[in-house]
Amino acid sequence: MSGQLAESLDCDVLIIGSGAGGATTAVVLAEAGFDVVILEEGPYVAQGEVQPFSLEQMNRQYRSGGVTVALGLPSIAYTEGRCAGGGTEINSGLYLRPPVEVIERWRDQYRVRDLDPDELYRLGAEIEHDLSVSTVPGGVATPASEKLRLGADRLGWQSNEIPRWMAYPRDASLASGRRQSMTETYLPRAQRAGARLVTDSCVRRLVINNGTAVSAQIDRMVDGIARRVSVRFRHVFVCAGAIQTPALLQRSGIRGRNVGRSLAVHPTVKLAARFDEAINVPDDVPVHQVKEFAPGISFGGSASQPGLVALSLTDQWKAFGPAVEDWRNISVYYAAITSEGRGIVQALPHVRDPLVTYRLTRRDRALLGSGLGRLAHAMLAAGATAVYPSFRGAPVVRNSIDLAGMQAAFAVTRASVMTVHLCSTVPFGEHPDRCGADSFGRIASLSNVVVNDASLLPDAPGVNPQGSIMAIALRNARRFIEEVDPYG
Amino acid sequence: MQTLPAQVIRSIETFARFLAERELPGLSSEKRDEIVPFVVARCGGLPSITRFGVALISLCFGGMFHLLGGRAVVGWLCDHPLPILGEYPRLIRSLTFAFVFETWPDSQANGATT
Repeated sequence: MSGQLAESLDCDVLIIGSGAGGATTAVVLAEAGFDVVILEEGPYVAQGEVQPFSLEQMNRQYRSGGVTVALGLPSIAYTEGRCAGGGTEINSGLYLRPPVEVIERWRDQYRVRDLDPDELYRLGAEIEHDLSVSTVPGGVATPASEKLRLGADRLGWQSNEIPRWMAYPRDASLASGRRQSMTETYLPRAQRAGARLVTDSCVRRLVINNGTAVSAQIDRMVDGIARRVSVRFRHVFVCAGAIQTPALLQRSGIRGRNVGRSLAVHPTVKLAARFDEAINVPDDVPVHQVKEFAPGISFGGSASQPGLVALSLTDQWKAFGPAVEDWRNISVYYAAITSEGRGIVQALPHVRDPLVTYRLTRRDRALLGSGLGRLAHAMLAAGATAVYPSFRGAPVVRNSIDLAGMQAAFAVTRASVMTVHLCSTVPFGEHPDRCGADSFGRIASLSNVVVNDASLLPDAPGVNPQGSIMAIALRNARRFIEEVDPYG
Repeated sequence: MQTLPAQVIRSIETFARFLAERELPGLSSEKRDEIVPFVVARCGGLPSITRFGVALISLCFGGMFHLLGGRAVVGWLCDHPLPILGEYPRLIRSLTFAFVFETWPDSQANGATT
């Protein structure tokens, strides 16, 4: 599926990254007649080649095998896709539009020009059509998902089934859905329009002459050996994700004060809940989320391969470990918060990967504790016989007395905090003190560099951000083709 | 993946082996032998800064293994979760447990085959 790269290559537009931002950009530009090259650092892995959420998938499709961390007290583990299709290949495929009040907040606080909720929702509808965003046919979700819904219902809390980009055949069952990730949708569509996808190619830096980026220096891996090649372009879209995009800009000498300084995430804490019957579906995730306390706190379900169940128990293995033998009756759930804290992404000289740090605020820490307590409460209400919170010193929670003990024992510094939603490292807009790119993703100091990925979101939207990323990428790419002539 | 110095690899191997022996005592030696290269490979693939930190801590622990013995050092570190340094046993433990229970999902909590 991926092309070979000669010593050098020319194109109208180079797109760095093939995930939600890059693939969306590629479709618009290729179909408008631009000669497009999409560069992807990771390999092409066809859907079905690896089991979802397995160690093999982490090895092949995640950066650093899934072991990446934002340093801090506590450090926050995060994951990044590193493959054709980026994060869309490895995530749960849950899709939500950004709330109107979030779009209005971004527009007002960051002075984003022409950011219209109605327009974003129209673009969202296009994306939802293209990606077959839908709920589970018949409304029957996995047992683990139903447990979360049941717990919320019994407490009178609001819960919803979150739609996913998933194509179901007519006689659908849960297992037969096919994820409509970028390798299934926008990447092949862009290729049909003439775009060239080149994988296993890491952009080291952009070469900039007189305020214009002219080429990209690339390490292409051939038989495990990096070969230096170059791509010349007229325009470049940087869509490498919220960690790699600012790092690449910094390595290229673009060190604006708002590049890489405002990483935003949805920090999460987890627990494992054990029931009397089998609920674990190793290669799928729950589709229900509890939004009763949104936007501050949301609850959902995580991947629950037996290895991941064991991982959720390791902080208290002596007390919790025996439960792993019953992993079929256990599923892992999370409490996610909207964080006031911020992080930094900093490229360092002569070092391959950037330094990533994140600082939780006092309010964030309290919210994580409160979220974990409420989640445990919901699991008990759903009929869990035991709940195992993921922090050192946690008790097994079987009733409300244990629950009170758990909340008293919780300290975020002893918890396994993680996140999968990373954004806001090059916020868009016209506010000079807050924004790293203009209202359409262009880097102010350069005439032909556009950022078009999760980095642009001014903050973490409080819902799964992929719908926001794609709608904004589509908006910015459409604006680009209005202003730039492919044949000019 | 980056190549780790031989001394660092030896130290990670020792740590992973003793940790598995201590926390999953029912695991057969053949299975332990399979875990160790997985843990080393994942440590080698860590992002630069984390890999540097892991290498540095591994070298320190390598010295302590010589002086005090690997089993004693690993046991003490697992029982005393120190700030920052404690992240190292936590990383090795996480990798070990994830590998064991994904590869042999019907293992008992002590690693023994059901």
